[in-house]
Amino acid sequence: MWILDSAYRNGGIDLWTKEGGAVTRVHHPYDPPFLVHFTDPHASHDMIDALEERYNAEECTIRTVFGSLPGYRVFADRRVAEVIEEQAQYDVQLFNVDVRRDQRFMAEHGIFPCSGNNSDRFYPEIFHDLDVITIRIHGEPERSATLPEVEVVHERIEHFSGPEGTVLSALFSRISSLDPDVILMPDADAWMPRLQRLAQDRGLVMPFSRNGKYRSMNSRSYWSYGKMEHKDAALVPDGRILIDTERSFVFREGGLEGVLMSARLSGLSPNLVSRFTPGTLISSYETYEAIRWDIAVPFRKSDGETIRRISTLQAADRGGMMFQPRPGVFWNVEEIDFTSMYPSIIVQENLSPETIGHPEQPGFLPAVLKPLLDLRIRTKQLKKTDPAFNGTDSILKWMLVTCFGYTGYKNAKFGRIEVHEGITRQSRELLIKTKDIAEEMGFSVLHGIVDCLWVQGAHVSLLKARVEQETRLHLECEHFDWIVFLPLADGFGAYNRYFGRLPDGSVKVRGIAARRHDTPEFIRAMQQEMLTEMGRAGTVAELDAVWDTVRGIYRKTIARLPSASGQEMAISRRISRLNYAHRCIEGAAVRAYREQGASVAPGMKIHYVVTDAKRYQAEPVWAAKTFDQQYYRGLLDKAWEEIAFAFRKRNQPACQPEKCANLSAW
Amino acid sequence: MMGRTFVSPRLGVKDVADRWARSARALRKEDQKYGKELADLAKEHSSEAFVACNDPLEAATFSVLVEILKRQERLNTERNDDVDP
Amino acid sequence: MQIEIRKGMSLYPGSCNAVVAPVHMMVSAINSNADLQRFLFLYIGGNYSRVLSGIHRDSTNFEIRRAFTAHQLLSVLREASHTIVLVEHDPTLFEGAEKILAPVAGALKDAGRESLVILYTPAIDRTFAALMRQADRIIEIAAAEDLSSRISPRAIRLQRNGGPLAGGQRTLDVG
Repeated sequence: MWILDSAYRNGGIDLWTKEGGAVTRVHHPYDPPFLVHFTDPHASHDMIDALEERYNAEECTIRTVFGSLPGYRVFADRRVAEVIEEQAQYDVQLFNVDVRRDQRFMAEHGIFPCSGNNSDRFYPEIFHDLDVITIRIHGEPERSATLPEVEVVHERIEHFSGPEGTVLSALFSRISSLDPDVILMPDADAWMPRLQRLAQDRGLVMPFSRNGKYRSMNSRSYWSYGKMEHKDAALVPDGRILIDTERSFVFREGGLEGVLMSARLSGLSPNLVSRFTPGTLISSYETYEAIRWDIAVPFRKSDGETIRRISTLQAADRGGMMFQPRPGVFWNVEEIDFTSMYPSIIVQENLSPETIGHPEQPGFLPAVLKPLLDLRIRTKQLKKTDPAFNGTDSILKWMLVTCFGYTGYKNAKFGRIEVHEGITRQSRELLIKTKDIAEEMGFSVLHGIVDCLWVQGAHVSLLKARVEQETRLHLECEHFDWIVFLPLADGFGAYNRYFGRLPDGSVKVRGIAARRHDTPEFIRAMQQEMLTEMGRAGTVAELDAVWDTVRGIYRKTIARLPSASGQEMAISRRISRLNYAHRCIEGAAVRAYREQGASVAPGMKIHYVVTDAKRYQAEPVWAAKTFDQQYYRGLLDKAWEEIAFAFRKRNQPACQPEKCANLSAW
Repeated sequence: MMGRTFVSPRLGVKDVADRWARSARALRKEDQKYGKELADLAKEHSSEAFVACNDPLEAATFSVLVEILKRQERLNTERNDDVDP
Repeated sequence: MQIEIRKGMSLYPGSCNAVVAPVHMMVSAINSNADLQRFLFLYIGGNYSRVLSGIHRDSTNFEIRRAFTAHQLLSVLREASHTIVLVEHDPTLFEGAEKILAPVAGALKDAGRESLVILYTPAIDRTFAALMRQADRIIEIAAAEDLSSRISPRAIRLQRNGGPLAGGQRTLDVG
């Protein structure tokens, strides 16, 4: 039974399965209760009576990670749960309120999507016989006046163009006849509502869903990893997987394999997980595991941290370890990284909300993360010889790496600040220990951040083996022929701004213009061209040889600036607000967007061109006719200085940043 | 910064160093460079100091003293070299 | 037992006070208060703190409990039994949890029956305004440099049950 989609419909779960080439839907009646624990049942007896009468509430024992609680099963939905907490003045604990019913059904029955019969959920490979097509609609979904040309890619490529009605019915009938299991479609979530309106206007039936039903995921703005994100309302078809390849983080990072693996691990439909962030993925995975282990999933996080003295808190509130890098150019540098360090620490140190203060009892979090970590270590190994595992490995990396930082615990159902602090405490010890071992073995330590150390010295494989043996954690190594650590404005080394040449001639970059998301294409292209040239230099000495070429690129770019197009100057930013307290260019861009009649929401990405920086003037990229040359020259020079620093340092090794001449004069 | 209840190490020491640099301006002309240098030395090991120091001032002092001890040792070595080549 | 926020303006146990004041003023009110060493003091913070970095670490009776969600704040307040409870307001707690504002305001008021409760912010926002509705006193201390250019000292006087923050006693003072 290979489950490709699931949905809650008519008091039950629709499971869409594919077997022997045929897709079938099976309906399972299912209306599970939520659980409630009253802090003071006597004071709430009226409410309990009412719940028994109206929602067949029955007494039960609630198993939580912290132990058992007396409570009630209530056969009702989230709305009732919210009324209960409001009427009880929030003096209740609710569980299993916001667990998706299809996920809960599968977890309770020990089944999961995207897998054949009796297979292991943590098996690294995904076998499937899904029929996949790609639909590309040319044009911009927000602004195109009519339905432009459409392209359908299956065994061959078909184009549909002409009058809107013709295109629409041709597209619809093609989808119906192909009857694919998966539709990959850039900007699907923006096009779908539009296609739906067009179909209604023309009396056509949209063929995306296999039973005519669609779920809608509402548009919303939310914070994710310190960034405001925006999600368009999505129209998700039943029985068929529709992936917005442009907006799906999971698809971008992991491809179809990544989406299917995420669905299998979290027990949710691929349709859903393709629209998730890694943070939502890992917490969905934890939820599935909790249900499987018969542990109630809390609705609210209401347990605050323990009371502490200020000095104790200060000692704990430190974050990851940072070493101060010395800015400059270094050759033959090894980067050593701990694989999925934070979750590895959770497993190794048995860190879990309920083990704080009780380290002897087996923890929930370590138990559920262990198989995920083991799987990651396998995919990491497998992808070295088989690139087919890249997608799965990438998704596992994201699920494991990013989600145990601060934001991770804050929103996680099974997160707790003391766990987060325990992780960072241990990670600092590990990094210092690794530094000690490296120095003892004759390496010189250049820089280190959180789970990563840069060292110079011979026989890194010996170092790796010894650190792995002593820490019992996995390491990855990467060799740099040369690496540049950039300075901050005050001349001291920046933690996160560096670039260096890998043995294959590519240049790995962090924190410089070419890597930043808001860098205009014109400037990104210049820096990329320079980095490609520098990639030819296998040694620091060879860098000298490319200097003239690199400086030539800078001069050429300056000369081309006046005739560049507005498109190339577009700055792309995710906006976090619509009202700005101070005058700023971003605020001006938001205003200009609105004046042009385009709708904007926090978290949305806007693309604008600065037309007059001094007067805070900007235009949406499609409307910009000019750009502020002086402003862009400033950006260009900044990007150039990041590159030129490498040569300056190379030629003047004893140079102190503050004593160096201004680079633009070069 | 989100996720931290206390000021980040780097920012904390930078504030101390900035204050020292400003104070240096009030020193006699010939002493000013030492004041400014102290401000730089404070930042030299600020990140590492925060493994166990709670206070930016404590971290700044730690960083400065480490560098001063290094210099002292270098000086002693040089002196010994002079006497006993 | 009392806390002197500034000269002549003291807060006592058995009251719930909303205080809007510059950070340095709040920090020095805490640091310079000898009573803090004798009484149980609970600081409740959120996702970040403007105050904590400035507090002397040798304040041995100074205890901390942070709340990272509105629901956590509610239970932390309900469990607080300290003589002094200082809540540093964090509006981000209430994003998407506006429903909890009223119960939190109630919990602040309840805690203020026994303890000295201070709900503190350096700058008023909508959620703070909702929380302070049930406070016994509302004290707003503006930084001198903010006000001197706009309001002449003579224009500043005590307001009672008036102005936009009606519902409690409002004090406006120049630092």
